[in-house]
Parts: sequence; C-alpha cells; structure tokens
Amino acid sequence: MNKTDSISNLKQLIERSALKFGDKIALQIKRNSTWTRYSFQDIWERVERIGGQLRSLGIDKGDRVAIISENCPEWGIAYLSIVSTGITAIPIDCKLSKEAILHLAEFSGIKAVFVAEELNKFFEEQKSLLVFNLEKIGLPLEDIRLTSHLPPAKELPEVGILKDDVASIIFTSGTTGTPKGVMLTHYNFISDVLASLRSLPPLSPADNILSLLPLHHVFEFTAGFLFPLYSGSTITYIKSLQSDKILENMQETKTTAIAAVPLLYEIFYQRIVDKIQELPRGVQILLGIFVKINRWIRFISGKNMGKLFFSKIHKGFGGRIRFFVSGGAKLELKVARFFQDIGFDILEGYGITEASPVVSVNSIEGNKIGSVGKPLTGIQVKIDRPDHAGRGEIKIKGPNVMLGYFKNDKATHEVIRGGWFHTGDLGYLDKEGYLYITGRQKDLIVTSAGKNVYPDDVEAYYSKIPGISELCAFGCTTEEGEEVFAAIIPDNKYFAGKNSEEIRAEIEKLLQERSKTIPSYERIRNFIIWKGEFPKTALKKKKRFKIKEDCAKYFSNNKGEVKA
Amino acid sequence: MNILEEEVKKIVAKIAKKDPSQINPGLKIFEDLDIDSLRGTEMLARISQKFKIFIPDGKLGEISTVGDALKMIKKFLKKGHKPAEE
Repeated sequence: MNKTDSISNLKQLIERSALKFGDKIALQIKRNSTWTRYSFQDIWERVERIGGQLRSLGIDKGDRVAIISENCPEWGIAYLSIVSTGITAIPIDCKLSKEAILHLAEFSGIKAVFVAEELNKFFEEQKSLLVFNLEKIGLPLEDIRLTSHLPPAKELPEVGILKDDVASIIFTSGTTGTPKGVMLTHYNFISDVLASLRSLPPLSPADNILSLLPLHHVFEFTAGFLFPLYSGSTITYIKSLQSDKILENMQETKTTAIAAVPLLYEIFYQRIVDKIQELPRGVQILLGIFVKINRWIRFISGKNMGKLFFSKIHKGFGGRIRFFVSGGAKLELKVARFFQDIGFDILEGYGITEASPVVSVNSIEGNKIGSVGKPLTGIQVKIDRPDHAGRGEIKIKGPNVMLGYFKNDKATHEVIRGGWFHTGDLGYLDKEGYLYITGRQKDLIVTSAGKNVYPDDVEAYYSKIPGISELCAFGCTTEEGEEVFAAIIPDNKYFAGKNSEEIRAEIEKLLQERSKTIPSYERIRNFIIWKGEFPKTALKKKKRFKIKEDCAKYFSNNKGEVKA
Repeated sequence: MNILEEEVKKIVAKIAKKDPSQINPGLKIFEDLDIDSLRGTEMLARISQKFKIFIPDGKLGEISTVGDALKMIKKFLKKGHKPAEE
C-alpha cells in the first residue's frame, strides 16, 4: 500500500499521519497550567505499544473494549490503539449512571475498559474486566494496567484489518432497556472523512481545532477527531465549556475551526449581542450599517470584509477562525445570518449516527443558509415517497452507512431496506440539490442542544412509578425547541376517591421526584392525563403519533385532559 | 434585597430568558427554569465574569436552586477563590 495515498482503515489513517506529519503536535490539553502534548509520531508509538499490551493480555481481533472518560488526548490514543489491533471500541458516555454503564458494558460483552481516574475504583471492583488507566497512557513505557500483573507486551504478528471490520459500536439509546448499538466499520469512517473533506474547506497542519463536544458522539469523533487527524491539524481539548474559557482557549491556541451544536453558537451570539447593547447608541447604529455593507459586499462580490469591520469580535475568537461547522440540531436562521454578516462562515450540515455521521454539509463557496448543504460525493440521498411539495423521508445509500445494529437484526432490517438506509428524518432537496430538513423521525426528540432523546428510554425511566398505569412520551416544539412531553394514564385504584385536580397534582410530584435521577434533557416537561386507553396497533404497540397529535390539540387549548 | 442576590437574579433571568422579577432563590434551575447543562455552564461563565471568581463546570451538579448558586458564590468569594484553570 502506498501509505500516503489510499487508506481503508483507521490503523492506516494514523500510520499515514505519523509518517507524513511526524513531530507535529496532534493532540494537546492544558492541565494545571501546563500543556500535555502528543505529536503524530507519539500517538503511533503508543498505538503500537498499547496494541501489543492488549494482545499480550489475550484481547484480540473481534473482541470489544470500552472507553469511558471525558474528552482528553488519551481518549483518542486509547481508541486508535484498540481499533489498530482489530478490536472493536465501545465509546460510552461517562456521565451515564454507573448502572447504565454496566448495563451497556454487559450487553456489548466487553473484555476490558479504559477509564479515567475518577472511575478507576468503581471498575476495579468489576472482577471480570481488565481495567486500564487512561491517564497512564501519557507516561512512556508505563504499564497501563490497573488490575493484575501479567506478562509485559511482546512482539506479535500483525493483525489484518479488513475495511468492513467493525471499528466502533455506538449506543444511541437503551441505557435501561434493550440497547441500540450502531456498528460502524473502519471504511464507514474513512469514506465519510474523505468525502467530507472534499466539501469542507481543506484542513492542513496549519489548522488548530478546538474539540468541544463529547468524543463518544460520532459527530465530534468524525468531525473533531478524524478530520484533523487525517489532515495533520492540531486538536486542543478543554476542561471547561464556559464560553469565556472557550474564547480564552481560542485566543491562546489561535483556533481556526470548531464543530459544535447550534446551542453553542446561540450562546456566542447572545454574548456578542449583549456586548453590542452595552455600547453607545451611535456606535450600535454604525455597527448596524457595517453589517448591511458587509452583507451586500459578500452578496455581490463574494468578498468578506467582516474581519476588518468587526475585528474586535474576530479577535475575541482568537482572530484566526476560518469556519464554524454546525450540526446535531437545527441552527436558528437569525444566528446563522448574524455570524455570516459579521464575517464568519458558519457551515451547517446534516448527519446521523448510522451514517458515520456526515451526509451533507455546506461549503464556503456555496453556503445556503437554512439548508444543510449538498450530499457528500459518493453518498446518494433520495426523498422517499415525497408529498406534493417534494417532502418525504430522507433515505441514503453510500459507503458511510452502518453495518447494522449490534445483536439486533430486526431493527437493522427495519431501517436498511433495498440497500437504502431510511433515516426517519423528513426533508426535501431543492432544484440545486441542497438538502433541507423539515422534521425529525416521528419518535425521536431532538433538543436544541442537539441531544437525542428516545421516548422508549423516557418511558422506561418513569414507567415504574406507582400511580402511573401507562405513559407515552413524545416531543413537542416549544419556544425552547423540542422538549419531552407525555400523556399519562393514572392508576385508578391508586388514586381512588381523588378528583382530577388532586390526581394531576400528585402525579406532578411523583414525576418531579423521579426526574431528580434523570439527565435534565430526558425529563418530562409537561404532561396531560389521558382518559381511557391509548390507541394501539394490532401488535399492541402504542400509536405514538396519534397520541401526540391528540395531545398537541389539547396543549394548544391549554387543557389538561384528553379523552380517548 | 442585597446587591449580590440582585445580580445573580439578573444573570439567571438572562440565561432562562425570563424577567429578573420572576426569579427567586427557591426556584430550581434545571426543573423550574428549564436550563440545560450547556446553558448552565454559560450561567457559571457569567457569574465568574461578574464576580471575578471561577466556579468549575463540575460544580454545576451541586447547584439545584437559585439559592444554592447564591450560597456557592458567597463561598467562593469568601475563599478569595482566584480565577484558575479547572
């Protein structure tokens, strides 16, 4: 293989980057005022050493190993060490409850786990697992094991990695019920990286990327980790997501690009607007005029004078920003236009975990605000059964589409039909081929922070509350974006002798109590009492769409009850 | 009402997109005001900026009500906690 050209797996990706970019800094983080840095060569050396240790310990191709930690350079090194040995990596959200983590670990049948220090003690108690200390990755020649003393790493024959070998299993739901693990292959990622980098402005070793979203999310993993790793750019991790800390870091590292959810851009937008409002009225008017001038210049000539007109704002972001990428939820038009008008390029894209994840993204030259760009080269996008306005379910076909759901052929066959992956998202393509998203899969609730909330999970959380006979969760769009609402059938025996107001008040209390143990974005924000039974299919599955439709009418009328 | 409470109410109101008069110490930040974790960190950022302290993101888990936020700020101010990297 020519290591500088064609690559088909992630081991080749890091090997190529080590050869090509050598001592250039790849990953860095500031800890207690000191920078910890790893070059591309450092990563490769550790990948070989840790991969050897894993195999010496009897973990081999086809086995599974989890990574549970906040973002840090060692997360990425652990990941690459795992997959370069042909082992499948299971990235797990470290903010999940310990029960949920164990549930996913058990379901995925992991043999070992890389954990951050705060979880070391908890995992040491899990006798059946080998536990590796993520922090020790940074120390040269250190044995990374936390448990038992086994023979040191030795030279082992090279493992052949096929492009269709599973690199990651990413759980998108089921922390309480049956987990849904998306199996993504080496080539799923490679193809998505190569195709995305053809649409996005090219990254190079001169770029500095700030990683903000959690790495267990495939959006950050592909856009914030693999893109720069392939391009020789430096990735910086930070420990605080407070906007002023983010900006400080951008100034210090001279960040050139970030990929984030719309909420973060909304926060930046609000900060800038607040600052502008503190200025004298005359200056505000002047800035407004410059906004209009820059808008016109950009529209007519394509030239961007924003960096000159709004140099102070640009300096606040470090002064070297080339572009922002937004994904994970819908970006508000006013926010996108504002950034564009003051001279930033904010490129909105569309992705889904099952597609590794990028499907389409805007380019600087053809940035159509409001759209999610054109489909990437090599990825086919079609609208299934479009209505009169051309809107329908988005389906995709391409090398980035997952292998299937882990241990769940039924769910796989439901979404991959005739070679097409049915996203469940609704949208349309305009005459120029730009994709627009008009709605989400009927069940999925996507908060404004880009968090995916699965009604099944919400129902599992609340179902065991005494007093609740049955519960149906769904998303409702409010001023704050999409939020979790529910229809609840009370247990009549439990509430015998009480009137509807008393029942509602008690259920409200019960929900609040249960909510304390649930992540805030998965909590029920509003509910109605449903009289009678839920409409159901022949297979006794709740007709969620129908329930939601009926409830929406009553919510809009501000009433608290729905009769079946 | 003291100045500290007044300023905190203003910050919380801004983040929750409400009027400061609607904010009281008993209100639960996440449940009653629907502030999610990313907005919560922004609230800490604005508090840190206003009072020249640094409350790390991890402390967000210890804040349930507006009153808790007030207590935490007082604690950090008393300690003379200097802005630092988390």
